[in-house]
Amino acid sequence: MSLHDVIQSDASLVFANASDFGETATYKPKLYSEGDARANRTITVVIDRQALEIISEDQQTVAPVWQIEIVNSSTLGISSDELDLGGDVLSFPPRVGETAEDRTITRLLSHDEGMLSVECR
Amino acid sequence: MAFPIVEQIADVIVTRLIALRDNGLAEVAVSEVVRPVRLESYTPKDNQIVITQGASERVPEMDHPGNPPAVGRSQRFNIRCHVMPSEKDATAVDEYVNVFAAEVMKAITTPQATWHNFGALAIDAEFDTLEEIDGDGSFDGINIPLLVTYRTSENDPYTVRA
Repeated sequence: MSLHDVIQSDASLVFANASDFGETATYKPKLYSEGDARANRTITVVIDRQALEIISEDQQTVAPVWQIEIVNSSTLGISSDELDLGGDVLSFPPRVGETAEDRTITRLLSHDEGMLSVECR
Repeated sequence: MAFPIVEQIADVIVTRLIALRDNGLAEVAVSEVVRPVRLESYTPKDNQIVITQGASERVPEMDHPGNPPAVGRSQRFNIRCHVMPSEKDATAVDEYVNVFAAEVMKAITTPQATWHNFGALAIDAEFDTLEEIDGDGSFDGINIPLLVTYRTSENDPYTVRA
């Protein structure tokens, strides 16, 4: 097993462990055409439910923002090369205990071999 | 529940934009038309329209004397057109923005002869300078400010005054 594989495995088994801080979300990739092979899948993520943030694009309006840590993997999470910031969606509870809602992945904040850190609004 | 004139005008604007969303022949496929709730809880989408209100200013030259007097107001509506195409899309984002803005303005100004009075609720309407939405890596777009001048009784914002 390469170091790359170990990093990805640890990101999934340790950091995004559902027994600790991880929780289930549904990744809904943007479909480019009918019959697109990209399909929804359930992944485990760590969600930082942040306070309201000023959205500069919308003339200083205020909106909820979520920072989400995801394993950088096309099977355990979302791989950085498949992520499309033009329509990919994550479905998760906006507040703990609520029903899951679709939230667009708006920005890739950072990423490395093991994890992606994305922003959803 | 009765609604004041300004809310009735807002409703007409929303109705015209929903007609654009439902128009299969339009040059842009509007995904949704949103009037945000208190915490702006919508999620950004490609070809999304978000309508908010800006300043409501007095227009004294539109006042009429009387008892009660009629007072003129200009209400700014911000029609924000969000564009969020795929990262793999090679088309210039400004092209999408230009087409989106044109379709929205066309929808708002329909019917052509009487669009400005919003069903006899307003005196006049005009588009202000278009404002670009500065993308920070999330979505792009343009804000189309619409200024609607209307007149009501001073003591009754529910009643249009000619």
